[in-house]
Amino acid sequence: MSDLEAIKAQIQNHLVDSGNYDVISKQLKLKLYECGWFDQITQVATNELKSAGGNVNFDMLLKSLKPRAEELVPSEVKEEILQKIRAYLDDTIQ
Amino acid sequence: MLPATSESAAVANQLPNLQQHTPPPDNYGQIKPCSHLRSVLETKAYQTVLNTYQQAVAISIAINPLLSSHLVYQLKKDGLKVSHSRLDEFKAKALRCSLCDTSNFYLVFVCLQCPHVGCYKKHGMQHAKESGHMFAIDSHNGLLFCFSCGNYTNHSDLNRIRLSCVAACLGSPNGKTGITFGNGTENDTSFDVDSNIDGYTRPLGSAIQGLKGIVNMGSTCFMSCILQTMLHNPLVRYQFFNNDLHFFNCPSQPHYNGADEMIDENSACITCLIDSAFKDFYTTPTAEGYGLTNLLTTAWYKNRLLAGFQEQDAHEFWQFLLNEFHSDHERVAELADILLLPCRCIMHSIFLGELESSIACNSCGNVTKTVDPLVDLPLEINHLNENPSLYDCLDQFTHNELLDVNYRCSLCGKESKAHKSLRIKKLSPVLSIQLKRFKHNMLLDKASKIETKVDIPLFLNLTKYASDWDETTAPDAIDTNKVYELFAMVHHQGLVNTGHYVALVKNSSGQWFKFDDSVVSYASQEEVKSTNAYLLFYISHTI
Repeated sequence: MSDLEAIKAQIQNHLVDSGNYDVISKQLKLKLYECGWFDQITQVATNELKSAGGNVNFDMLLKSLKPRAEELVPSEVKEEILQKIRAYLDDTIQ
Repeated sequence: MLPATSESAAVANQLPNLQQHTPPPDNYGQIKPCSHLRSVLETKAYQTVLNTYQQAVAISIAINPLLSSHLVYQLKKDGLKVSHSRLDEFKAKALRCSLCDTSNFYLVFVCLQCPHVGCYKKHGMQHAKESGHMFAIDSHNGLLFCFSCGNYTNHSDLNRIRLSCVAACLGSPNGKTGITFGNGTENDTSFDVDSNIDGYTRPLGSAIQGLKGIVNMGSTCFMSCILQTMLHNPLVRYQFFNNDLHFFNCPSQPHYNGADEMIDENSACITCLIDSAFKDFYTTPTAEGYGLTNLLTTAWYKNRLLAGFQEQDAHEFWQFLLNEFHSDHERVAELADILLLPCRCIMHSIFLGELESSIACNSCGNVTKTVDPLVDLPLEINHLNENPSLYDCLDQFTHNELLDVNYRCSLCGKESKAHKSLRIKKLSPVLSIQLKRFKHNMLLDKASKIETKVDIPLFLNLTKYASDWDETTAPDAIDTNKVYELFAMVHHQGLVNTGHYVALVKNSSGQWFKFDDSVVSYASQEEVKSTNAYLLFYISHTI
């Protein structure tokens, strides 16, 4: 494991263990629900499944949905959550 | 808001009772076993697979945010309760990718054949390839993943284990049920719907969505739009599809069920009428609009004001329906001699919450609290800032306001100024909100309409409007049980007395539909967001 990966892993584990991950992910989830993102993705996935007519597995579906799902996240939501993560990092890392 | 009724004091806990019978929120039971899983389960390994699966599912439940708050763990050796922080430690240890040493935010694959745990991103798959262990349990949803197929797989025996684990953790006497699960163990909810049941014919696929318009019979759109919000309310629909009490005991049934259409003073019954509307909407495959003749006749016998040929307020019609549901329920339950308290009618079990008002005496600081039944939230849209959202309306509704009149405190006995604030004490499964767009000027005897655009969130977080909200220690906390999903909206267009009502309704897969009298069409999320709402219907949606 490279040094960078080790640091990443350490931060991630701290984020989860400290309970900060739960708080931030809850806020993100609510934002995504409020702005209709969950419903949009459900629609995209349903349409994809219909047009594939059963010839699609989970891996393929995920692969095609993921970039679109990320793109559909409103930039305000992205920025707001990134700020929260930044604030957490500034607090934690000296 | 309706005035307090005699039953209101006893309104509590009818929801769990409703939820017990509703099917599980997932349809994973419909996932069929893949050929790989089937062949494994045919070998001697069967029991081992089941045992391992059960253990892995127990772990996946412990990290499920919807379930974990209901769980209490005890140590095996001395029965001591395990604290939440201890539990978090255990979880972090148990669910850590063996290769990159992170918990990957609890998103890992737990191998079915060995103690390996691998992250979603990379190492779960890598382990399957290298070791040939092709099955792993997804820690997020407790489902089995087959790496050979690149797909989730399931089996009725595995599904039963999964559901019974969930049911067990919710079944404890002090476990508050926030979500719905079937009993899952004995009566497998995924029963074979294709098999023949006596006297039952499956409605056509096109009918079961209930997408049907309602013919306008001259200014009847105020009824049609409300009817659509009822017919597509999942909880109301569930009650009507299971309403044996009314079906078998109401003497008006034959008159509404095709035998004759003799509706008169004595036989008029709104519940029977809505019951037949449900049948019509969800079983007839034609796109032909639904006729309102019987509703008009019935409503006329019940309330002569409603069935004139004049445009009426949709909100008043909605209240009328709820009151009728309640009185029909009382009447029929009494006939059947099973009048139960708290009342199980649609109004009480689905729409009724509680509103707490607190008055704080400015002189001694004593707070007097009173609780009133809450059937819907009437929100003012005057005096708001520019581009207001529904949250601004709710802030205004709950804000601490100085009372105009002096208040005599029951504690210090002094008459002084006082502050009043409102909070929701008990949230109902469906929350109805009315934006007060219509104003009546008493002096001029003239009605006017406020067209202010209010931004409507598609999901509504009500955490800080509840009476148990902790303003000082956790102002930003989100109570995931207090999040509501917008599923229906009534819009009024045009002038006060000559306008037109349209309903927008969302189906279970997130698609919106517009119901404009007899015309039903697709509606986009943007269209919903840009519609000037009058009535809003939110349903509880734990996130």
